[in-house]
Amino acid sequence: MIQVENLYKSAKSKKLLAKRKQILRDVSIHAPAGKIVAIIGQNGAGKSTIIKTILGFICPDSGTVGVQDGISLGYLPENPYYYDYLTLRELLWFSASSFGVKRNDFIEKARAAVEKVGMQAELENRLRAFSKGMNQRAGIAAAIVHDPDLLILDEPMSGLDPVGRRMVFDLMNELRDRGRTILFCSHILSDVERLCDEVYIMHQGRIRRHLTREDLALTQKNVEIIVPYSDKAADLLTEPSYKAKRFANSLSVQADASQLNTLLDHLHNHNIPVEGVQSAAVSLEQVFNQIVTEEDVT
Amino acid sequence: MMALMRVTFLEGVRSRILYGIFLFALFVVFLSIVFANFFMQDLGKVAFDFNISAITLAGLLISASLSVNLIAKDLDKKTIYFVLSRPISRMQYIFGKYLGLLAVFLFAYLVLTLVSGLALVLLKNLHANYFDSFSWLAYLQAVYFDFIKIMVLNAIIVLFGVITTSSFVNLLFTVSIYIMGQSISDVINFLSLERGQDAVTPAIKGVIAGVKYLVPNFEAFDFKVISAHGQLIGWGDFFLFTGYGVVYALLVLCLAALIFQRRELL
Repeated sequence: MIQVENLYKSAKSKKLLAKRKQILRDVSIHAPAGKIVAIIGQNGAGKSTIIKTILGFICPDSGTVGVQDGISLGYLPENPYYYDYLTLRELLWFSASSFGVKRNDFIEKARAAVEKVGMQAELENRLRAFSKGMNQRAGIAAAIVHDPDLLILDEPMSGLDPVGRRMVFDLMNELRDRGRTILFCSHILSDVERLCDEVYIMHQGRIRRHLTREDLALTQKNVEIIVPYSDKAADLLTEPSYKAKRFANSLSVQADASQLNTLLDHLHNHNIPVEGVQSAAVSLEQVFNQIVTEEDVT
Repeated sequence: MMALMRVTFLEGVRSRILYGIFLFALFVVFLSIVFANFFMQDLGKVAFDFNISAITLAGLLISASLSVNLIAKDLDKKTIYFVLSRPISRMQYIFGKYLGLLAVFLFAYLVLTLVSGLALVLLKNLHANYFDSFSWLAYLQAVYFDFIKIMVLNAIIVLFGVITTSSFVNLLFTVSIYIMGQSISDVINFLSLERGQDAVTPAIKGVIAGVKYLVPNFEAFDFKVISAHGQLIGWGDFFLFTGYGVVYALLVLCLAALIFQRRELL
């Protein structure tokens, strides 16, 4: 549905006579129909720039952006600020009518949209009376009121309380189940991990890793081996490839699943008993931190 | 585009600034009733001038406070991302915003014309002998061309709005153009006189000749004096000056849309 190929974008530096700053470097992203795709990265990594390029707000230096023809699009900007003199109903009407929704259909669509974000009671209230979280929910309602095929959300969980986050989480899942495509940026990695079919990890304007749902499952295939604590075991497991930690009278060792047999043989050869073996999940956050740290060191 | 026009109209009519300016204009209209009584002659023309000037002043104040902020605010607060992510092209955005602004001015001019008309009715009833040459059609003619002038001025504000994100810079440029447009025909008339021939260097004369074709001649829309005498212009002139205003505004808006098409919305 969205195909971004080899995107490069630079911008003028704020410092006088300084070189142009490279914002995007060789970015390629594919968001297939019916999937939830996330772009994650630190602040300033270039996530919003990709979205703005897809939406045509900025022109890339080189590369191509392709969005499937004839689809309707819903967009939630980061930190949305809408015309605060409008009521929520007027905002939704502006959004829906610009997509050609007729007045008769609008009433039903507006009701459904506000229900999904829990703002039924706010329809006739002006946006200027809304809190940050309510504004965010209003923005999500405005993005989905016309039932778009493609939804682009820039930090959809930002400013939301746990109830609001849950609501958006459920909404995104529901939209995917109905065959809608969602591309979004987020800092909340636990949500990304649970929601997404594909994740692009960005750092310093580049895509550093592309993980599919299967990859995400694989990254979680680390193992943890527990052995009784002894000086001998501690000496043996100080190799850098094992991550050993002492917990009271036991020693916990984390290693890649591929190392499991070697490690078990090693422990057996030195007469160290094994108390237990369990899978140790590596979170997306750990993968992300590893990429960012690696990059910063190099 | 209609959705954007409606939203812009709502922004205008829900603005507190607009009502502040309304109150000020009403105060000036009220003053016209009080001050007209101080004049021993031409009381009708004084009342006419007072009321038309109140409308003109209100139009300029609305332009300076509401119009200059319209696009700047969208760019500054990033509301533009929300608008342009709909199927609204940048050209439609410019024209939608502009037409919404015109609808606000139409509303403001209708209210102000009605109120100042009531003030004139009152004065006419009190001092009927001073209103011999007064004509309602001439009064509407003056208001109409004032509206055309505001229409051109606001197209210029929109143009500067897409060039700069600063409302202050926009206001500064617009005021400069307004002053030039208001005085350019006087300057040209002066230069055509014998004593004006050597007043400036040929280079400056060349600049003035260029400015004459670039900036709008706002004085062309000023029909206060002849309207105060109850005179109407011919249909030929009516269409000529209306056409001049509309075409000028359209050209400026097309230029604004062209610049805005190329602008990056980082």
